[in-house]
Amino acid sequence: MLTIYKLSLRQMLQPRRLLILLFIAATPVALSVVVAIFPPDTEDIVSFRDDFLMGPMVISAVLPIVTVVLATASLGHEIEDQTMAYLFLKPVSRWGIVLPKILATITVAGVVVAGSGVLTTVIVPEGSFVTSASVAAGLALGVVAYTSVFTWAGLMTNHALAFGLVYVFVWEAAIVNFLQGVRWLSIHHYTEATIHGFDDVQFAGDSATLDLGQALPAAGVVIALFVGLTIRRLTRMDVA
Amino acid sequence: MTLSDYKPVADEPEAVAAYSRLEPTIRVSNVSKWFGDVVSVNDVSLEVRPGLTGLLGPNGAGKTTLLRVICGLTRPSGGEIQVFGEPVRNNPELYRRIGVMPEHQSTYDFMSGRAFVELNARLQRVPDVKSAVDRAIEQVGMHDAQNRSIGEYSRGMKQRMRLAAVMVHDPEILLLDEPLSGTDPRQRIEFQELMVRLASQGRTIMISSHILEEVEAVADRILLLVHGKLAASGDYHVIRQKLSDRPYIVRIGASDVRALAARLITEPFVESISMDGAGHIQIVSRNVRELQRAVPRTAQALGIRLTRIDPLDDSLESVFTYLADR
Repeated sequence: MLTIYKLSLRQMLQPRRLLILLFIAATPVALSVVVAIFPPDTEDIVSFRDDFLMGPMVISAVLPIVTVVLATASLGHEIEDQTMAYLFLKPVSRWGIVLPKILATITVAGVVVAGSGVLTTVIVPEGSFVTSASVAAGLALGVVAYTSVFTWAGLMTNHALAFGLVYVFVWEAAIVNFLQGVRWLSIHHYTEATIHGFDDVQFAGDSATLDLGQALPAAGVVIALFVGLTIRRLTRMDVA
Repeated sequence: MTLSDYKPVADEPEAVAAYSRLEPTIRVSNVSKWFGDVVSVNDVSLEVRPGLTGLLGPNGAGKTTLLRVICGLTRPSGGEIQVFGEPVRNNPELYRRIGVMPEHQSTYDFMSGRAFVELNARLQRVPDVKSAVDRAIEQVGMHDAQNRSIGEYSRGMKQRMRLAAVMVHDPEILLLDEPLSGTDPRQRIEFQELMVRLASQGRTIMISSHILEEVEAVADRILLLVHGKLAASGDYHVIRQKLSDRPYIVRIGASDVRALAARLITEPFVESISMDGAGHIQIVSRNVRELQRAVPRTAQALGIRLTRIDPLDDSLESVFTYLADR
């Protein structure tokens, strides 16, 4: 497990892709620096942080983009590059391949995404330890949930990245916003609910947010379901 | 043991009998594999015993699919595979005893060759990784280049490092799909010597190739696959003999093709001669060596100038199809 985990980290830390993801993650941090240098009124700062930096930028863009890119590639690229056989033809159970791959994605995406979110809340005035800790917890949950779904997608289709972006920008950003009854099926909402659950000041004005008591079990089901589906898929598929 | 010392089992009748008494390590029973409407492997049954077995067939014959089914990378559409008496699919512990080198496979190009072999050793849970890696790299003669990035290797070097990775856990069975592609003649001989050495230690080695000459010098037994079916199996001498019996068609252009044809038709090794539309003659013969000698000799004796000599059906496809049809 540790060998595959280390291998996966090395694959993910290839400079070109990582630099692009870091650039995306740095954007809200850079904007928070601007806000810190030129602070508006206190009320406006909190609103700007929640309604512009954290909501649309970190939770709706940085979190899904970084995680989807890394998760779809973690097993998907092994299939595409025909290197999966190196793992498959070893005395390693299929879950022994899937779990370290997922853990490596969570590690890299978690550091990049949570780093972006926490730095943003730390730099913007009016933040507190609770603000930053709740953001870290919510983003971590989002990273784990997106990773489990899109690692599976990477095994199912060659177009997993496109599938991921459609899920994020069509399903979550458009459809779920109009049909709030299906917010149960939105990782975005689990993330927001977790942040709000630990720090009720954040996203206080968002009536569509799930309760923490609803979001955590729903996220747990999604994570367990898709990790299970990924292991099942790897067990049954033909490997190139 | 070197290649020149080695005699395949098929060279000696007692050895053939002893070979058939060995317990099969691989059993393939009525295995088929189809992709949509395309049948890649069609109801193949075979047994492989310790020693070196060549899996031969033209491109597209189903060799790669059969090897992939045997090693568990691909699920058969029908039939059963057993390796050491166990099903291979979803039986990862079995891979401690098997080494597989697929034909088209990338490498982790960001690693050094040594790191790549080491990765495979760790995944195989080899107890003494360092000495296993040293031994495997030494076996393929890559000691001097081991610390270079794999991305900088030639195709032949990559093949050798992949082979080191496959052998690092000292497997009892080696399944190698076209392992000699990309290697130069010297590397081929070294590789063949290495395979001979490993086979003489009681391992089961199965090498696929579309080139008979690549494996005939070392293989104890040959399995011939054509159009997804097992067309022939047995010792390579028998198959070689069938090849020698095959009629060859040669097209000859000359300054006086009629005079040349009139003389050659009297030779016992010439079965028939016909004219084509371009003014050339086509000779059918089962003794290509005699024909090769007779044509220039006859032309010289008659004062005829030869303008072209082309073998018409010397492709591997035609050779294998001929064997399959017999």
